Amino acid sequence: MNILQSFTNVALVGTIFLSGMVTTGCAADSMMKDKTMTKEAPAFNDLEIAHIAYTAGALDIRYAHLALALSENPEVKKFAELMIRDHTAINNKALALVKKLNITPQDNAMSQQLVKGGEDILKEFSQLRGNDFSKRYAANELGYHTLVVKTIDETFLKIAQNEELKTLLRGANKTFKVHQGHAETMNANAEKL
Amino acid sequence: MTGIFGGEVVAQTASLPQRHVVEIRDFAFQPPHIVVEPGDTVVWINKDFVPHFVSLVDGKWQSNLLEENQSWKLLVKEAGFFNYECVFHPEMTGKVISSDEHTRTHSQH
Repeated sequence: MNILQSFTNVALVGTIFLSGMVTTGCAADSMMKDKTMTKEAPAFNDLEIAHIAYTAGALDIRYAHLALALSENPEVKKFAELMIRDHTAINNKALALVKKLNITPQDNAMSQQLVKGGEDILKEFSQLRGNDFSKRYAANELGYHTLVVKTIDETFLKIAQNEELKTLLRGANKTFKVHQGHAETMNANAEKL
Repeated sequence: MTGIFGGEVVAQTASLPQRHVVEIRDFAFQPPHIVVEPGDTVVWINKDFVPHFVSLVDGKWQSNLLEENQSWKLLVKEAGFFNYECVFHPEMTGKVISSDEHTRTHSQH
């Protein structure tokens, strides 16, 4: 199963926030790896990785807002608040890097799959209440963070070219690993509900 | 100061308030344990991307919300053991040990 299929299966929801950002400049030229330079082109260039990472963060924020609206479980609410706070901070960091490098992240198949698949899960979430919502949200958050951590470690950090992007990804993934731990606990507790 | 045998002289001097720095980095307080005296100041500086919120476990004192590179300082007024954590990420824990000694040993060279 490739990364795209995995993300689709987790059914994440998101919105593209990066359209209309600053125009592509010289930094973008150095940031984007020319696929023709290697025999086998990497799955994603840096601009696409930046877009995917931001989109994934944005969609988890959307999930969290829904959780705050629909769940009455204190642990779920606390987790959702954490997701909003931390993912917003990381995405703001990403936006600052985008501005600094004067680049425009590129929409791509994975970002589009994130949005498309996510709309379905958003609809599903909106039909759930109480413990049913909490269980589904907790399970999805665990799946989401497990996959994000794995994808960054095993794929994005290996193919990203720009050092500042890699630093951002490493820092972000430390956060996501902490979130994964919280999600494991939340999910285990939710299964007892 | 060098003694007559060329050794280092260790003098007991009156304690002056000290400033201790705890960095918040990679979801940990570094150093996790610090020893201070009443009257000292402890400064927490957040070096992570995400916000943290330092709080004594019993809630007796709390920091402000600390965004990246923001700091918060605490004047330690009393002796005791103070276990603290990040409210947002409670797996992050640290300890301030405030001794009640009124002198501090200084090495003079």
